[in-house]
Amino acid sequence: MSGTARRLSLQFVVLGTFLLLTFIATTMVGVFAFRNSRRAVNEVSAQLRVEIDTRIQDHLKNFFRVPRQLNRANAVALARGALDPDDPDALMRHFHDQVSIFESVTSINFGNRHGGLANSGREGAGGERYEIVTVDFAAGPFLKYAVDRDYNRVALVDMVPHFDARERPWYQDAVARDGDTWSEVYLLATGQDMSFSVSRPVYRDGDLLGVVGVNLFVSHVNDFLATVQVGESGQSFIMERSGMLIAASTGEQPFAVEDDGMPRQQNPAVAAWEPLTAAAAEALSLCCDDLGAMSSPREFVFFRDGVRYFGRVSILPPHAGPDWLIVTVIPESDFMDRIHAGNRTTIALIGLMLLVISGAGLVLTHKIIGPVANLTRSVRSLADGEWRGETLRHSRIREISVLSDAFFRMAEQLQHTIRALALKNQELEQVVYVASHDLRSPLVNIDGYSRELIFALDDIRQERGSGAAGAAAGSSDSAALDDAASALSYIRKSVVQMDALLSGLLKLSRFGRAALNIAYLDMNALVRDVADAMTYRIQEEDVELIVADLPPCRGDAVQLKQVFSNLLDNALKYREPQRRGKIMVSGATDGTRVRYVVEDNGIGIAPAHQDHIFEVFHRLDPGRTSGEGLGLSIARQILGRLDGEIRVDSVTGEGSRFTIELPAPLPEDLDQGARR
Amino acid sequence: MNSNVEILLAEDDEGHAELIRKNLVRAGVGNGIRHFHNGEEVLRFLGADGGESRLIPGTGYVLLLDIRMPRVNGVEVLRTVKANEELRKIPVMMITTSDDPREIERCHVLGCSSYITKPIDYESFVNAIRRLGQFLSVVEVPSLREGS
Repeated sequence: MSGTARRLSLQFVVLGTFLLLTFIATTMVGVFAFRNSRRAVNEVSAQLRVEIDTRIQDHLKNFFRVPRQLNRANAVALARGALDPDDPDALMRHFHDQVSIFESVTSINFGNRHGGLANSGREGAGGERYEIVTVDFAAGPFLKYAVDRDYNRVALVDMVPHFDARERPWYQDAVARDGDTWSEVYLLATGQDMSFSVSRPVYRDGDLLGVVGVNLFVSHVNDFLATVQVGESGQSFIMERSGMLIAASTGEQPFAVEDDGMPRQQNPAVAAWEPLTAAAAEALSLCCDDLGAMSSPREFVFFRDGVRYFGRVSILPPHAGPDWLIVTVIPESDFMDRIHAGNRTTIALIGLMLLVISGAGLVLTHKIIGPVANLTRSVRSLADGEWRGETLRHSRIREISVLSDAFFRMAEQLQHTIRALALKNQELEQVVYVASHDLRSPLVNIDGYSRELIFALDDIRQERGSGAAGAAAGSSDSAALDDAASALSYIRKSVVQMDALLSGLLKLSRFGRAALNIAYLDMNALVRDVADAMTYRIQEEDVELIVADLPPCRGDAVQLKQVFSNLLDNALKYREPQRRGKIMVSGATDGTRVRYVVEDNGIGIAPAHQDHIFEVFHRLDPGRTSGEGLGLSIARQILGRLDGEIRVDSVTGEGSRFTIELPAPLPEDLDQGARR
Repeated sequence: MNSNVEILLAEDDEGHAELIRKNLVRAGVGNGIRHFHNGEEVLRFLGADGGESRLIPGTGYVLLLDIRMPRVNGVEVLRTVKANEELRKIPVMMITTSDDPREIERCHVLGCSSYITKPIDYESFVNAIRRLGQFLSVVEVPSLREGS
């Protein structure tokens, strides 16, 4: 409960502030650096994604340029007559050679305006060559032959009863669009790969001759993508706008294979077995619901297993290739790992710095605070009166050294003065005690023998009175006897007065020496006790005593009872005879002080006397009232020892008002008082 | 009052001793009074200084002690008497000028029977002496056995 428990030591404050500031500063720098590096990393990461994306696009554009150029070359040859559009065998030989030259090409074909088809291509793991041609080079039966390198038909491999090229999407789309037309991806019937085609219409003099087309292996795209390194653990993949996976840098097959080794189904990207591919496809479908219409690159962010990923999705320029989405994904951790490692170093450095600063701070504060703490202990022991002449501990810091030096000199002087004062006080007490004590001894004799003399005089008078003979002669003797008796009576009166002064001195010296017991005081109870002891006199002299509710204070109960007793006694003693006596006791707390007022309507004190009423043996009206003239001196002495004060305000003939000031109770006193 | 009781008065002031004696007589106390001028003399008489006791067997004693005396003061005498197995039976009265409550308290703690302040007011003093006389007549003053 004591206030010191809540106060902090100087060392704690200095060291604590030191460490706190250092911690805040280093942490701020650390956080700032971390945020900066994160931003830098994200920028680098974004650049990397753009770069990779551009690289993939460039490669794809080159890859798709071959079939487009083949188509254009074939279209030009047909249009100008270099190739005969009505000779399927010549066409197929021409196509056969082209397929041989360009490895990425599956097959090349021409569908004419009659629905006929001429096609040369390869299939299977060994790249077996084949030809397809319709009967009469018009819509009708579809015949597929295996051929050798020299265009010789080896075997009829397949036959479809009815085929019409004009009904195929690649034909219709190319005519409708009148330019390079890319088909959707489809599974090859032989199952070793997926394929897609680009086709283009052929006109001669404004008349449509047919449509030329080139088919490509999807696996070639996949092979290329597998060579692309995307950061440390990022990846790229290509998918159709519909969500179907086409190729991935992980080398994943974009189609499911049945137990018999035959492909059955194209896979959507969200179902990819590579989890990151699936997660990125899913995030893409969630973030960009307009994927079907997207025309410019888009950035996106997603979280997987607590790791942040940055993604980028783009498309090829129109006609440069199929309408595919190119997706590149890089985890933040690829770059942040190094930043995090840097962070760990930073944190370790901060810890080390705090340790070093703590150590330095401890040494420093010890140097500064050691002597200060020493000084504090000394000041406290001096304040508590337990000074044992502590030794001066030197500090190498000048201000502290000067301070403690000055303090120790001051303390020595103070101790010297206190000792001298105590000695003087003791001497004085002794003088007062001995004087009043020993002075009384002769007084006893003076009074005692004065009385004996009076007895003797009485005896003489009686003897004279009984012997009537000497009556006349003894008249002058009798007068002398009377003079002697009156002188003796003056002597005795003076003795009594002197005795009163001596006992007053004794009393004063006794109060000065009494040990104090300063504690919380319930003043209502204390004043009630004092008033109770005076009940008889109060009733006897018909005085109205009003005691208001009094606040508590700190003081010595016995001594303060004496003070209030003296004040009430005075108020009773110096009444104005013409009116009924009235005494009021009240009190109020003012911050750390408490004031009590004892007010009467008595004869009052003239301003000229007000300064003197607290002096020893000062009595305003010695003849009229009894007393030693010590009540107010004792009151002032007591209040002086209790860190209090007493004042008087008075108007002659109206009354006096004594104000007593004392320390207010300590907070812990009030707690205890409340519990009472 | 038991006439076989002797009053031992230790008082360095002749005047006080005479006044006490006079007033005791006036109060009707006719016992023998032996006067000592300081504490040392009393202790010697009582044999409390290691010497031989002058106490007469079969006689009762009362001790009247002034506090402030040269050599050995009244409080010291009181302490010595009350510390002695035999002498402690003797009633001790302190007669002194001091009305210091702490001194009175000290004497009572040490075992004095009565404490009389020598008042300057003659009448009070006489009253005190009279009370002492009454006290002596009421209290049975113990006789000390021979050889004690």
